[in-house]
Amino acid sequence: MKLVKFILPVVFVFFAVTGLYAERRDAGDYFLKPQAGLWFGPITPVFTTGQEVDTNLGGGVYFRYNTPFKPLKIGLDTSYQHFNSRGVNELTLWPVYGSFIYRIPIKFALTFQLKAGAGGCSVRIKPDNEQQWDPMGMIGVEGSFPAGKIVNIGLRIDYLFIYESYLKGATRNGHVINTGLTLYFNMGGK
Amino acid sequence: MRQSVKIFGVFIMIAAMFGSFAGCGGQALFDELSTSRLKVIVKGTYESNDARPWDVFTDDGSVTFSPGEDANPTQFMIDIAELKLNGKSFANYRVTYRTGIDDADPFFNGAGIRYENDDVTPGKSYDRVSMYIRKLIFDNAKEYDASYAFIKDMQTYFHEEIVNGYDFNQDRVEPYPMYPLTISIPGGFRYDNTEDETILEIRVVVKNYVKKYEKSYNTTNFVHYYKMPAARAVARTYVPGKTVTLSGTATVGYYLIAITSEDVITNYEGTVILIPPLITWTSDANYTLLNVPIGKTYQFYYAVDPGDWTVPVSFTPINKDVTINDTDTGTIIHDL
Repeated sequence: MKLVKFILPVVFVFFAVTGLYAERRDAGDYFLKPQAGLWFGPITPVFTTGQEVDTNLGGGVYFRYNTPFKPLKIGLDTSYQHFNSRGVNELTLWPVYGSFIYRIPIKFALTFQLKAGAGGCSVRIKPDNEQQWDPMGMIGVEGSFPAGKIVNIGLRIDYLFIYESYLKGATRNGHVINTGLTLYFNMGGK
Repeated sequence: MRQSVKIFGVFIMIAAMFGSFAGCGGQALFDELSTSRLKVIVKGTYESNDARPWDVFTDDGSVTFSPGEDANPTQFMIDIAELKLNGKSFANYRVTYRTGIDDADPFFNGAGIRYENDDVTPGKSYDRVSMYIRKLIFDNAKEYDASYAFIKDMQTYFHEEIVNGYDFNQDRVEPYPMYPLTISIPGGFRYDNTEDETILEIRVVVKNYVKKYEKSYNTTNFVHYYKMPAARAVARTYVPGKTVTLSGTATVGYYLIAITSEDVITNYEGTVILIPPLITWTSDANYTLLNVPIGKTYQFYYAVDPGDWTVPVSFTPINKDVTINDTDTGTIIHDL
């Protein structure tokens, strides 16, 4: 019963905001076009990963496409993240993941989006020279504003979870927070 | 609408593809990053275990007069900046260590002190360690004037503090400064990161290898201070669980040396500053050599204490070789 009480309002809000998007679209919402973008900024290892390697700068690229359900986009992200340490250890991550991007339906100059995704992450460590792909998940948030019909400028914060503790003998996972300035381009289409 | 569904499908496929790559992994890389399978132990003894007790101090012959203020050192201090294996840094963590002239201290009792380090590249062979020593200090260094009247205790900085003592690593006479001190690993070793642990034992002979020196200071004055006359050192490796303890009876008061059959004793004789990897002191009629790697044949030698605060430079063979098989672990009794 509790579950029903929770789900019903969520479903109600979900359908209600779909209507809001229809209105924006009619008004010429270029944000609803497919988008390609890039980001650049600090990459910060946190929790146990933060004990081993240091913050650095990283960046990545992504592509997004609309779904029939207007507030929702699907995206594909990849980035390059290299971390040095106080000693000689180095960590290089190459996450590749798909994500759902949900646009918060607020009529405001800024656009806010929530993201959640999953995929794989290439993990390489030095000096051991070991590399493998690990499953990963992510959640994030973005704020952006349009700078004309084509360009949007924004700030994104993502938390990446690289899952390894399922492996035999493993006790740790990877934890990274990416904070970046981002540019994305509205790419025509419908 | 149909196009959106198609593209959505492509996205899901790409993400799933990378997700499925993820299933290929099999190692705990984040755990590997946080741990070091190579462990470094540094010892200040000639012996690999059962170190001979501190002897009485002597001088090197340069001291023409010993004023009443002269005193034996009571403290030893070492400041190490970094370790490298074959020129590759793997332990760039500064370590300072201060100990009394004390038989019980791990630096001097044969146990050794742990040096923080990272791993090295696996599958490669290494045959030398470079130890970048910033400071080497014994206390009770005294300054005298030309007529040997006491002026003051020498002072220097150690670990950002002023201490009584003289940093003899600043001497510009061989082997100082030991920056770096290059230490051979007889036989070398190939680092295997599939082993849970590999110990790299580094021995720099300090204990019972210290003499009093006199040098000119401030034009007309003299300093009496203590230092090691040469850079005698060795490094060796072993894998815990793949070693034996060799023990048995032997003559009292000997240095007992074991080298592998691939090694030759002349590598450690004469003017060579390298010391044998496995040495023990026979304080009673028994000997014990700890952490002897398996899968090798060992030849035994002995040397008497040469006295005068130096180390043996010639060895007498004991023709009782022992072969330790790969299946051997634990203790092997081998009377000599």
